[in-house]
Amino acid sequence: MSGYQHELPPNISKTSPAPEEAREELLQQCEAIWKQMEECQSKLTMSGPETLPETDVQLYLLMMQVKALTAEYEQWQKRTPEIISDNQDVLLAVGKEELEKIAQELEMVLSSVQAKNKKLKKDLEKEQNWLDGQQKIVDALTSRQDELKNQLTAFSEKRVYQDIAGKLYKVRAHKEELLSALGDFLEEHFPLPQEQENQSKKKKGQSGKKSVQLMTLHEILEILINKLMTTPHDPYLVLEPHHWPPYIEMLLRYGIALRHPEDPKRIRLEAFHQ
Amino acid sequence: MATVRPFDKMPMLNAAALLLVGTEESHREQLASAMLKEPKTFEVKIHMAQSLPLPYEREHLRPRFDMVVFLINLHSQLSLSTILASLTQLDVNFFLGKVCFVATGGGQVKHCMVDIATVKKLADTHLSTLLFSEFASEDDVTCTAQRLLQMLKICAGLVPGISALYLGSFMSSTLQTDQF
Repeated sequence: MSGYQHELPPNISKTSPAPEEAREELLQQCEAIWKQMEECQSKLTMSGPETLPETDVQLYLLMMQVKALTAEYEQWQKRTPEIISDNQDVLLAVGKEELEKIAQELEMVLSSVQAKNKKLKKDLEKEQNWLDGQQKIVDALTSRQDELKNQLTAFSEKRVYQDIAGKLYKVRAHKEELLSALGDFLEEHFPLPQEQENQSKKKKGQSGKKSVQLMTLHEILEILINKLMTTPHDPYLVLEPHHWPPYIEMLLRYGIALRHPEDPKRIRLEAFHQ
Repeated sequence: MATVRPFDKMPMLNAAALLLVGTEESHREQLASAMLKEPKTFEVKIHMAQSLPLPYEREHLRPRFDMVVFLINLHSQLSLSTILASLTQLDVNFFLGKVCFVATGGGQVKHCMVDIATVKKLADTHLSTLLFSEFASEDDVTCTAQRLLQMLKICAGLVPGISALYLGSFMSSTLQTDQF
């Protein structure tokens, strides 16, 4: 039943018969008390029943209470503490009973304390587990946070590079496309008519004129564009004989190119990109 | 018809007798069974009546009552008037700490036909303890039963050194119901 039971002497055997003498004495005492009670009771019966008065119930009862309390007080004053029989056997029996009662109560206390202890231990364990769990979660979250932080920096750099590279690639492709489209367009619509002319002129024998290899409009535009892009501080192209004048005129007239304000021999591309 | 008296018979050994008076039979039954269920060190005899006085027949079978409990159902005016009539059939010596009023149904104010103040005044006038209990709640009944058993134990003289008179005067001085 309990942990300390083996340290205790065996239970006091209840079957040990109380000595006849002691029992007799106690019984006699009881009889006397009972007789006294009977006497009191017969006296009480003599007084007839008394019921509540019609009015002033509270006052009546309070008066009665005062009387009764006074009487009881006097009784307590008169009374001397009762001493239980001084018979050794009786005292022994009473002592045993008292001890047994105390033992029983203490055992109950012990068991309840043990139960409480157990419960507290269980609670502690539960709390500990919870704490461990929470700690684990915190650890996991912290490591994840670090990981994400690292990833974020690495990721963003790479990403930016990728983005830029992708854009660059697209722009380049677009540029290529545009250039090829421009080339196609120019080739189709702006050929070099001078070739025929030259040829015919050559055929006609106008050899006095210095034969110049003319530049296509495509090439002129390319040079202008490149000049503007690579040397923005000096985007001018110096006109030379191999730049066919009609084409230059056309570029100037339609506002594609501009003449240098001081030097009519130099032109530049209109700054479309600004 | 006999007036119920506190000392008309010899007491029983290691036992206490309680008289439950109230119009609601179910409440009486509930409270009695709750009291009998409680663990205790003495024998408890519970007698029940709808009202006082008790009939003459079977008078010799009744024990000496150590305590009288009046159950008042606050939802019924009849309950209160029956109790008021019964009070006059009780010996005045009972009012020296051996009477207890238990008011039920005070929780549902809208069903109350009897004002709580009336019951408080009744208890104060008769210098008696007033307990409130909800019979719909099992715990409440158990708690009331435990308190009544404690009081009964004292009223039956089973607690050395304390009499019902002491208990009554202590209770009424500390628990004057009109103060709260």
